[in-house]
Amino acid sequence: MGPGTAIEKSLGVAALAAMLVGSYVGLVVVPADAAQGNVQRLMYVHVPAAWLAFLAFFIVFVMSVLYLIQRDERWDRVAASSAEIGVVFTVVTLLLGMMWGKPTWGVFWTWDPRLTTTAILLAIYVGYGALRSFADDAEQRARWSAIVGVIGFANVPIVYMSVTWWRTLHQPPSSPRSVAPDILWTLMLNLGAFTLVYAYLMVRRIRLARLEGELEKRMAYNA
Amino acid sequence: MRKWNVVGVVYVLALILLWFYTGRVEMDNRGFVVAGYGLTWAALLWYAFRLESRERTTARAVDSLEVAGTGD
Amino acid sequence: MSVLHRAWAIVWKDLLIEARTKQSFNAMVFFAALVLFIFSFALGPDTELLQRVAGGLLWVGIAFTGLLSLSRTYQNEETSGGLEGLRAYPGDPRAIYLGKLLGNIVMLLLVEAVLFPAAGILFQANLWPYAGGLAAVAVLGTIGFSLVGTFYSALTVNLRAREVMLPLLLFPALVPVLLGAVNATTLILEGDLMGEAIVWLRVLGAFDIIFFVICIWIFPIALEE
Repeated sequence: MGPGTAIEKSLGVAALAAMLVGSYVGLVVVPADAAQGNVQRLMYVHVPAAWLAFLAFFIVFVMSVLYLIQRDERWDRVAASSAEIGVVFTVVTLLLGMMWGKPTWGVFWTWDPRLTTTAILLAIYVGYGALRSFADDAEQRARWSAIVGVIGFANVPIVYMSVTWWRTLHQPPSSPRSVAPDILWTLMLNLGAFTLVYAYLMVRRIRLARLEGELEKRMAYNA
Repeated sequence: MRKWNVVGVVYVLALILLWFYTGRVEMDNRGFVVAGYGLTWAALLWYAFRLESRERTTARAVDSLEVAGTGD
Repeated sequence: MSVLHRAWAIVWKDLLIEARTKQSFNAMVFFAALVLFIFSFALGPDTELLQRVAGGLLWVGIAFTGLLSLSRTYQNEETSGGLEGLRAYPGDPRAIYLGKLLGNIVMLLLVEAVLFPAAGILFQANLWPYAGGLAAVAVLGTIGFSLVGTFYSALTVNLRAREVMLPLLLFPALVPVLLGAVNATTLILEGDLMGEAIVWLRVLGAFDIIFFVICIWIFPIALEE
């Protein structure tokens, strides 16, 4: 098997092209926001990154449930891959959020429900990764990560609601502004681009997971 | 050693950037935005290339070992 | 023997061992008091400030102390080989979870019985008028903490770097419990003029029920060979 099938390569090219177009539109083509100025452009990368992170973790959840039911190691591989990629997207989301927050809110961090929940998501899936690296037996590793994957994700809605209550019992939630069509389609464009990137990274990462599994088997056999 | 140098450089760069941004808080700062996009690209590209190199290393290791026996 | 019977047997055994050695309890109380003491020093002599943050500090103290006790949940079984020792128990593994859970809850509540009055003294807050509400928060919060803690403790008992893995896995999962407990405690201590504490108590209650069901259900899978 060569370093990539034709489908993989075209997926990669498509992702790259879409990202280039998306970034160009977001940075240059779309006019700056009336209220927030140029800093608002960060939303075109921040929001898609956040959505993809969440999608990635949702997939971890689904794969974890599937694994616990069917005990097929393929589900475990997909789960682990999605978790790793999700962490990358989450870190990007948080960093971009902080970069956007400093000029607009005046602070790098605030205990806003979404921001707080995102940070907690990061902690959960870093823990997921750490658990995997410390578990030596492949079946145990898959089983325990699946458990953590299920519990971690099930906790997210509860966390989100708790933090929302925490923040809004004393202050009313801000009303969302209506979104101009320009902003909306630039957002959609970048969302599509990020989704292609996720798909491409998933294909690569799953293949790596398969290779690692094979390596483990061979090392056990040759030991 | 190379790996640690990269991490060290990134860390120092991050501190410098942090100091820089903490001092200049203008809404219309386009540099901010470009840096943000740059960060996104850098992270995604870095991860993609890391995947590639991990894949190569693992594939090499797999090839160097005997296939696991049948009836596993 | 039914699940409850077995669970009770485990609780009784662990508590008996604890009552004889008083190992854990003394260490936990000492540690908790130390944490509160250090916080008082760090925040300075401003009484008003201390009273405002008393709720948060209390639960930070409880969380750290609870963590200390959690890592020793399965210690009695560890000497006979960790998870293998646990798997050797006859019957439904859920009994093990229930037993350990009850043991952890009892131990933590006993420590809190000492900690709350100590906090009252250190932070110069009069707790007696609010004893009922505080007791409710303490019970619901402790149950929530112990539910997830006992579960993850079993997962990490055989892991390398266990001391790091347990808090790393545990604390993100505990966010609703900590938020609920701290906010309810703070509101109660302030007199809770708008009756908001009940919302947080409901959050705690919901969390407890949801995770009791999930953890009891999944525990046998965690313990599988």
